[in-house]
Amino acid sequence: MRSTLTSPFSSAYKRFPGVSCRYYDGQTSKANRATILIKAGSCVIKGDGVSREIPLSELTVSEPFAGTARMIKFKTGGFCELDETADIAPLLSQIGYREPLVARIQGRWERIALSFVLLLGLVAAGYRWGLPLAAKIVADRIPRPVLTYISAKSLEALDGKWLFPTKLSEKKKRGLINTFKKIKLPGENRPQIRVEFRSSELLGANAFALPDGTILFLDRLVKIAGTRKELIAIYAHEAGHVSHRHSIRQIIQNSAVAALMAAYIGDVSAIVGAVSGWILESKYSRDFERTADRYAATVLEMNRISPLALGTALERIETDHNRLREKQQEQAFADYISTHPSTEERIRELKAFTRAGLRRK
Amino acid sequence: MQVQKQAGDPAPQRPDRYKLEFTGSGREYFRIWIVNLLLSIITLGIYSAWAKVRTNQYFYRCVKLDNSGFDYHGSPLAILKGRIIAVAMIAALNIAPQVHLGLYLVLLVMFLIMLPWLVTRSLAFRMHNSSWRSIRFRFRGSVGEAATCFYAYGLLTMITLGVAYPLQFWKIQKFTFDNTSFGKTGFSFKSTLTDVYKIFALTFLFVLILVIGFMIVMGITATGAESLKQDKGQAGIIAMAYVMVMYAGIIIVIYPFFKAKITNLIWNNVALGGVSFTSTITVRKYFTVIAGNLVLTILTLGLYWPWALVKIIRMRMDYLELTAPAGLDTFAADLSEDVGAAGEEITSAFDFDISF
Repeated sequence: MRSTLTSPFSSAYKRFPGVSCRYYDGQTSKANRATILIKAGSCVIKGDGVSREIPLSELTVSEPFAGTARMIKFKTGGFCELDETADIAPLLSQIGYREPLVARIQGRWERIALSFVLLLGLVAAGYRWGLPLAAKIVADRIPRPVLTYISAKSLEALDGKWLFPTKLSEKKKRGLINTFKKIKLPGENRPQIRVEFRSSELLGANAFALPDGTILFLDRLVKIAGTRKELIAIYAHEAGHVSHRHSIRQIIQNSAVAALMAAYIGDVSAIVGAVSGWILESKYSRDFERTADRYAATVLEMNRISPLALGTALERIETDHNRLREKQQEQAFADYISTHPSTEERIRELKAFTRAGLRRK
Repeated sequence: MQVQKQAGDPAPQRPDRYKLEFTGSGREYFRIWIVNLLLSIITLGIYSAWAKVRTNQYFYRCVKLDNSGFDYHGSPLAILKGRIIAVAMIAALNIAPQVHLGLYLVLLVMFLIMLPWLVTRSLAFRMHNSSWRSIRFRFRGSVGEAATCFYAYGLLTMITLGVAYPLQFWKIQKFTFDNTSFGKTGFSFKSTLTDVYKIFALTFLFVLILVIGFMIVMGITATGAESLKQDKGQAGIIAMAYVMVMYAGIIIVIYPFFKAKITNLIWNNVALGGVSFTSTITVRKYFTVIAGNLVLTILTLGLYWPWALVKIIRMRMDYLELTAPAGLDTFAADLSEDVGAAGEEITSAFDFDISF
């Protein structure tokens, strides 16, 4: 027999006082119509063939969710299912039940709205300050051997695939290394730097900093640089990345963003998650570039070179990259989400820095 | 509560038929979801175990059979423990190859040995903590059987380049259902291997047609447009767009086809004692729900997700029906594992859930 044709919480069923409910005994799947009430410190359930008395300490009440029946469960097994529309407030207060904090937050729309705003704020703050700060704290504590190891491994992976031995003369290399050695860097957390040279058709005019302080100059960059000062500017910029441990911080930040995006939106689509992660990460990369630019400007001033040398070098690199691209007739898709601020913006910043510096003097 | 008999209902329902009813709403789940997310972030992820329990409780309780809701009893601490173990394992497996290859291989072998055990424990945890009308579900699959499903049949799948995959899939379904019971009453899975193969073959055929179709369209447009030859950058972007459209096509068209067909096949061949199931979900319905969900979730930057999840579950419940000639009142609880507090202690110490 189906019981659906009559209401399961039929009000006609009132042979016993109390709130009508359906009682399940924990032994079989039979639904027993019964009533529940609180009498003398215990819970009394009565119905056809049902008679139970349970101390209040052995009751738990389920959380209120719209669209679900409330349940009063018994430690020794079995539970009562109460109709959502039944007035159960008096019963619950007799039990001494107080809604848990989450249920109280959830119950009111204005609290949900507040939670939502708080959530957005937390996510934005975490993205803007929290994660970069956490990554910095972690990065500063990574021991040197680990950095050396990671750098050696990445260089191993790049050599022969992307990077090839330099074609620069021994004399040229020596000369540059000696020039760089003479450059004064700011005193506090002064990075240990080692300069190396490689060539790469694919990467063109470029330089990179590895986590352990290795700075790689590509032949093309050395070739197109107008003056030594420009190379020193690039060196100072890369030294900024080394000094602030940018590469290792970037690794940490990017993995965290990727993991969180996968958790948040990966259920819907892995690709959407990856692309949005990529967009979010590019801001971090641009921030690092700006910091390295400011570091470079300070270093250049310290060494009596105009910070604008970096601007000139960046312009040259950009022009060269554009020419290379035209020659190869291909445009990297990644360019649409820029990892660097625009060269224009960077030069504007450097000019502003120089003006401020002049005023300081 | 929803009224089951709509005015336009054609034939009167047979008395031994029971429809599953879903009373959840996107609105309500949105509240739960927001609070869960907020608390999970504030507690740096620790609350996520409690969040999972509350989400499961909400969805289980919204599913009603013969007017009684299902219920979920998982302990947040057990889930937290499971998550910590899972995160530690994933981290170890990711870091180990950087440190020492030998160490990585040892960890990998250990992980592979543990995997069938983890899968059975996780299924047992989920079933043990699911109930209807105070009767718990049970899962008693053996680790050996799980290992056979994953490794013996997995190897076969690899050797045959995927041709044996439907066989493995079938074995896993059989392993799951045949070892699950509701109280003392066991489930059984009776589908034939041929039926499973038919669905996989059709799905594969559709994927093939889609891919070939796209290649032809791509070829025509590429040869037609001279300008693309001039600008390879643009060509690259267009090629990328084609791949995206193809990927979307697979998700939006082929996935619903496969899911609808396989869901129907599975449920129509499952029995619980004398109870049989009927699933009549249509590809069209699945398609509408999945496509709508995907578009709206992306447009709202993920905020539509609670409504999307509710829609998927509602759809799955709406098309599932039980036939129980002897009614649903006579299932008996299997109390063998629950006797005494000691038993409960042991299960909570060793049970954990690894699913995220």
